Amino acid sequence: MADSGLDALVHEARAGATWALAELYREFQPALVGFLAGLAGGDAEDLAAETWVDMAQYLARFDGGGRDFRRVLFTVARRRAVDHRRKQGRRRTDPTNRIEDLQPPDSGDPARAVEDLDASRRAIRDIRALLPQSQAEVVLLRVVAGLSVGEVARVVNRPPAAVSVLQTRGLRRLATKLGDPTGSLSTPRPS
Amino acid sequence: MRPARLDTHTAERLLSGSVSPDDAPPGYAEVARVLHHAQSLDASVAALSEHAAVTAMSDALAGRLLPAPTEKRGSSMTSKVLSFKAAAAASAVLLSAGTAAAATGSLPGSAQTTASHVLRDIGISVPASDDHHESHATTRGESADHTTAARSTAANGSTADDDAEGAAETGSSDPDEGKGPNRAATFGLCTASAANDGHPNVHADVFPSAATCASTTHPGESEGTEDGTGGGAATSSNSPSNDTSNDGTSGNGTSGNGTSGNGTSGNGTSGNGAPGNGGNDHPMGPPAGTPGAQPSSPPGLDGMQTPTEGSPAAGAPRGDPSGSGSGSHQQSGGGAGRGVPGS
Repeated sequence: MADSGLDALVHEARAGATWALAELYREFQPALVGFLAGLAGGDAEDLAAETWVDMAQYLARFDGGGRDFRRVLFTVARRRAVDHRRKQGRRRTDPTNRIEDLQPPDSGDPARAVEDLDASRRAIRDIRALLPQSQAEVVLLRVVAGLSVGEVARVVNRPPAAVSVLQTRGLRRLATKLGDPTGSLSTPRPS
Repeated sequence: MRPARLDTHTAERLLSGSVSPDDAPPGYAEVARVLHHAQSLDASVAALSEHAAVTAMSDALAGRLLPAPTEKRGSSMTSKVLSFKAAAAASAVLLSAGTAAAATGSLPGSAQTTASHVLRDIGISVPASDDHHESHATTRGESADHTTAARSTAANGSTADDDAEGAAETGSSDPDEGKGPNRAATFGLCTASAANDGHPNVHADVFPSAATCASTTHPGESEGTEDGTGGGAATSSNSPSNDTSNDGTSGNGTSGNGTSGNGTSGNGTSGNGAPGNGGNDHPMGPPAGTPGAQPSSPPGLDGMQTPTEGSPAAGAPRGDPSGSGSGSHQQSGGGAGRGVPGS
């Protein structure tokens, strides 16, 4: 959707128009779930729902257009994902449905092949599995959320130059891991 | 194969999905494919939960949802620091104000005394409450200007110093009334002064001199000066007395040892009116505590009448049998020798 159309949607949504909220939801929900899936795995949809509620509560005070709405939306989502990771770290639990995230992308498992019909989800899972957290965040925000370097810099609270470096390293790392069949099984270095 | 180095422009084209896998630089074909798939997200994801999500968003936008409990770590820490600072500042202000008030002697009596003692221990000299009694109220709510009044009050046996309280109850016939403490009050003040030994007090002018105290005896040990309306110390209940001079209308038999003296007195029972200890029977004296303490007839009247009646029935019914033993001492001397032996 064009930026002008997003501006109008955001304006109507701020006025309380339910149809505008629905349009915004349809516009951003796939990217939001994809981004959160790259950060939080199977809890992506729950985190996305919480993010939307947060955004709705913030919408009355929001002053900006469609691009700003996109940036703020993914900023909230990223903070939700960070909080989620911290809680997971404190709980010291790992749900069993996360095991599939640890599997290689193309291991040839028929059961997993049935589950992973969606190439998009599989691609996001590859990015998450092969890249460190900081690089995965930047790549997902650039590719999935469609944000510019400057916008990503504001979301992750880093300088734009650092974002450029992270995304370049991420692409090279992806190329290395995806080009080497053994490299895709290795655990990414911590960021 | 090691991938080629990426320039910024190529990286931007890959990230935007404008590079197909076939056109990708050497080693980046698979990267281009993954990024292309990542951009083509399934829109059906939104359709699954759209209705519930939009309803929740509408409610949240309308303020019908409570704010989600979010942890504000920074503000929480800030508020804690500010609370600590506020508490410290308030404590400092209170401490300064309290010290200043103590230094100027503005605190109430007991608080001033406590502050004086505490601050003296740490090397700060502040006046005690007694040092300012001329201008400040005492702990009893009385102005210290009323020293004379307090003195006369002590003379009347009401409130003096704590140690003198109770011991200073005197009769109204003291010739020195209005001029200073009478003998009983003097004794009480001497007792208080002795209890205050070693601690100089500005109230020292209230206390009698050492010579006066030495010459002052316990009021109960003195001769009975009571004139029937009272007199004597209230604590001298058991002191020997020779109040046979009571005229029958005095306090004899009204309280005494707290037993019913009347009716079981010498009249009609023993025939011998035992010497009473009317000196103990001050109306302000210790409470009798037993029903027999209250006479069933005017005090002393029995002693005047029973001899004329001369019958044992005259006294017996009126007294409590249980109090007859001690009550025999209650009857005044009016019955002495005049009682008729009971049958």
